[in-house]
Amino acid sequence: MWDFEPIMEIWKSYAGTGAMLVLFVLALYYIWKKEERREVRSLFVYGTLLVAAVFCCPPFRKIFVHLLDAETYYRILWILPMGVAIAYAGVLLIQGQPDRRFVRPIGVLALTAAIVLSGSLVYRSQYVTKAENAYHIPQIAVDICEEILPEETNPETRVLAVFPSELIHFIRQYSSNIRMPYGREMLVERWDNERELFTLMEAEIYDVEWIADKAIQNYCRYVILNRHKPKTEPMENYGYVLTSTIDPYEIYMDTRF
Amino acid sequence: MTVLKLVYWLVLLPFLLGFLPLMGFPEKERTPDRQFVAGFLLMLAVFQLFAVPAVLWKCRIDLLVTVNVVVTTLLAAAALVGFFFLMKKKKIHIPTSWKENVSKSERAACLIYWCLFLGVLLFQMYMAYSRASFDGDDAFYVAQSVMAQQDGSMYEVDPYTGAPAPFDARHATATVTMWIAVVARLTEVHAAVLSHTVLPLVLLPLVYLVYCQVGKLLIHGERSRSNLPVFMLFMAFLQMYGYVSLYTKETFLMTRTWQGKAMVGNIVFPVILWILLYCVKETPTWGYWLLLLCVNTFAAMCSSLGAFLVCVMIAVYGVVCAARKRSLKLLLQLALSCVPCVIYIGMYVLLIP
Repeated sequence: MWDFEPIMEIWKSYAGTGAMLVLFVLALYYIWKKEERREVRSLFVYGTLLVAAVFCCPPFRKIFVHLLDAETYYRILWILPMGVAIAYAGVLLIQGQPDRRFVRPIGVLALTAAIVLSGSLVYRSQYVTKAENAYHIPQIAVDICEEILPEETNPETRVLAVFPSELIHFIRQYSSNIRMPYGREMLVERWDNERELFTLMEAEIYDVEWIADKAIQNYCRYVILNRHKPKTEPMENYGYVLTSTIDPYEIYMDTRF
Repeated sequence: MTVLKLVYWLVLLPFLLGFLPLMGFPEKERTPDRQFVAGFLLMLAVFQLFAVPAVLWKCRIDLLVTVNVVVTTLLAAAALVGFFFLMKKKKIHIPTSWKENVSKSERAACLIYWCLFLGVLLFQMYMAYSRASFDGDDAFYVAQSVMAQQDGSMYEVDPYTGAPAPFDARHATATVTMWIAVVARLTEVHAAVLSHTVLPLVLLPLVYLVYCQVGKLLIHGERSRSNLPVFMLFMAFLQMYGYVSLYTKETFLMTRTWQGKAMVGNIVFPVILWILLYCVKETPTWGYWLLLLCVNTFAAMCSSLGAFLVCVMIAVYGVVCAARKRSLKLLLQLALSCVPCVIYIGMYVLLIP
């Protein structure tokens, strides 16, 4: 009932190095000391303490997890006005300095530096890359889709295709006329999915006989394979033709359709 | 033509609709920035009102597009009437000149800090346009919008695979993906392009407009005019450098701007903070209550969890506000503003098998 460990874990993973959290606590302390308007002070300080208390309350977490899920519990921390408190405390700090020519610009610079040093630049994230097109999905995914999409698209002409796992996030963000035997659900381990075709496609060597067998069972007209991965035998042995190669992928079409 | 359509649906229409809540604001607070924020939230809240029934009745998106055009046109016409009414009575506050007591150096400082802030904002917008951020959830949310735009179906197909699936009750009340699909249909822009490239260009300035309102309430006293852009500059850096983990709302704003959960953290909560700060300082007029109702409805439109968190936020901060003002009436009013959220949470609970 009073298990604080998962809550502490969330705090840790949410706060990263913790520097921004320290900045927030300092900001609250400064607002508490310097803010003259009691109502503003109360809202920031008491409000934050109450939210933190609710968040740290294990029975509340238990109810939350029971009604919703454990994975999103950290979003309660979004209620805390972290950014606003830090920025406002910064303004109060600058406002409290003597009114000399260079004091304010230096103050602004110093506080900006404190923010920069406490945080981490989002554009340095490994997930942020230069966009290859306006869709913001890899161009290779767009090219493969264009290659296999029928000229006329309607519900009757939709194609089913099987892709390597690194592409499956993007295909249906581009076109809903391409269907897949499995999607992102196969990549999320905790969802505990299992599908033979996925396992075959992710194996170190493509077992062509089985892939061809499972693909036809799943009504897949196209099979997209990574050409750098070895195959047990040519796909052509099972009624497939190589329609095109978009490096590093080979697009095979089942001629039996 | 496409650009004009985008400007109409994402900028001009919210601005027009903003005249409606603006009429309920005190005269001095009827400013263009508040108008845009209020109009945007009104537009989305109204969409949620007819989108949820349409989704639950398993209608095609074509119906949603038609209803959206009709309803927003009627509202825009009403807003125009309101605008002419306000203009006639000279009750719109357009800040045109500096206050007399502002010194030259204060003006210069103000200009410099605003320019610096705008520079950072433009940089963020450029990065949002030119950088792609990978997020697995897009395979669900963006694919939902693409499916609705291209096929017309709403929550009836598995977005990951395209296979027919049981009706997705869990996401049915969070219709922000359908709003994106409707705008995509109306502007003929691919839903993925709209989500990833266009929406951040509108939502990022919107977020800062909200923080600007919070700043206006907080910053007072000497040099308040030039302290506001300093506050905004700090806010802009905090968003950019808020990537201390994958879970912060700042990370969500910069990398998943178009997703409902990012909008909850970065639009809904700051708007509620703005209104609560106003409540604790002043007596809110009906415009503010309308805005609170709109933002609470919008929270449910973004995510079911959003609706729940809004109730938690209003409960916690509402108690502080009411205690500070010693006003039970305020607490009741704030509790009543949560009714839309409670209704959508109720729907969510009933719909989940």
